[in-house]
Amino acid sequence: MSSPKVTVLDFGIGNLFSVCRAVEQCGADVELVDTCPRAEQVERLILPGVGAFAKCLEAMRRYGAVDLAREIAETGRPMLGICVGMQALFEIGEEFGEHPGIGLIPGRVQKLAPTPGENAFKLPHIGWAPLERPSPDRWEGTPLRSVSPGEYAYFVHSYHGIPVHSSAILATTHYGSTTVTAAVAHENVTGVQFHPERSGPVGLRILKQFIAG
Amino acid sequence: MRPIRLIARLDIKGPNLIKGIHLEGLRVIGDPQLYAQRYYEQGIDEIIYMDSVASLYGRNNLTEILEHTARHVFVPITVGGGVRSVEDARKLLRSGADKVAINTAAIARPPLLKEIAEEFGSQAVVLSVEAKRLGKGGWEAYTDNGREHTGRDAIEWIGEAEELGAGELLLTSIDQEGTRKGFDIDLVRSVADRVSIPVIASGGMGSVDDLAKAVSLGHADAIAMADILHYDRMTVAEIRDQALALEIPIREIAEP
Repeated sequence: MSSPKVTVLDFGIGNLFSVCRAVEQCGADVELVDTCPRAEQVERLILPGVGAFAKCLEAMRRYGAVDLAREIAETGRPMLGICVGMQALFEIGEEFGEHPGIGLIPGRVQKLAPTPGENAFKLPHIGWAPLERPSPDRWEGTPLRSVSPGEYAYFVHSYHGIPVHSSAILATTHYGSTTVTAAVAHENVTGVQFHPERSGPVGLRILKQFIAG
Repeated sequence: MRPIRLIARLDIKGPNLIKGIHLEGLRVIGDPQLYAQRYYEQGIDEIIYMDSVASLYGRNNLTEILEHTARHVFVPITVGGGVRSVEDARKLLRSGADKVAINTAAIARPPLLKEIAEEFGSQAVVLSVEAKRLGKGGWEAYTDNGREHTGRDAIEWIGEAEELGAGELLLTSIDQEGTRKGFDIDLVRSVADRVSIPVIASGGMGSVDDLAKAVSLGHADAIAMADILHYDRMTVAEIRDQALALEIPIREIAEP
């Protein structure tokens, strides 16, 4: 039996070494592609992303990732956005002005609200934070199905997605008194604000379940 | 209280993990990859690799060690020592680093911080500051692993570097480094209260009590530790358990 295949899009932004290594560690074959593949060549898609929203989206658009992500969403095949790759799934990002996203998850990407009187909470939010689920059965059938509530993941961000429909929220965490969107999911499309590839054994479990479909 | 990160700092010379006192008198400890992997398995939050002689010889031979480490370690890795250009940073980030730490080259040419931040984002830029207490008060920034004076006030330099796009600060007290006598709390607090980027306190951890002071009195966001781990005085798990008992907000790890 051949290993499951995961396609990681390399549109020239960020460090993909650790994403690829983590996916390999989970038993999949990684295809890191620096030119946009056709949708039918993709079994499972990882949409990475770092840096400012607009710059990342511009790189995605130039590469063809925006159209590809929409096509993959239609096919029902698993897709995972990581960090700004998760934010890109939303309709609009508010970093340095308003910019359109891919639009698979209705909602906006907004700056983490500073907690009044708690200036000890700095931005960006860098560090480990516990994942919480909105309802007891929300993680069933999703890449988070083998995570226990309260397990920690590694975050680096100043913005997070606010979905129009709260049903899209897969996981939350807290930073000060702010509730942070940690993951979103709609049908076959999942996005995680944290970095599963840098979140130790918990992150690897999430990637493994994503690969298992 | 904000969450605190526990970071293992591994100073490297050639192929070896080394440890000194006041960043000098370096002793060979062993194979850095084995230590990094052990700390990962014990539950460290992040790893820092510092090439202690890279600035001196104008090279960086850390890439190979980094690539091997990043194959087995799935927490963030910061690499410093000898980063002089956007290309140096790119090479390290492509080899598995999540962030690069910069000291000597940034003091020589501050806009380097901005160039790297614009290319890879501020989250990938760690300013490394080696600070030595002055007799008249305050701290001077040093370069080349504590060997060279700069004549610059450390606090003032940190303020400038933050403006240029440094996303995080690795603050090493040369006076305390390797002594196991605790962090320079005045230094950590003077910096942490002034900047809005996270501050990693480094140099001097001898006990979990020192860690607790750096957090509660020094307002550190993260703690770098070396000696205490490398000489196996405590395991990461023991440090974690004691820190949690003192109600320091760190990552809780489920028993395997």
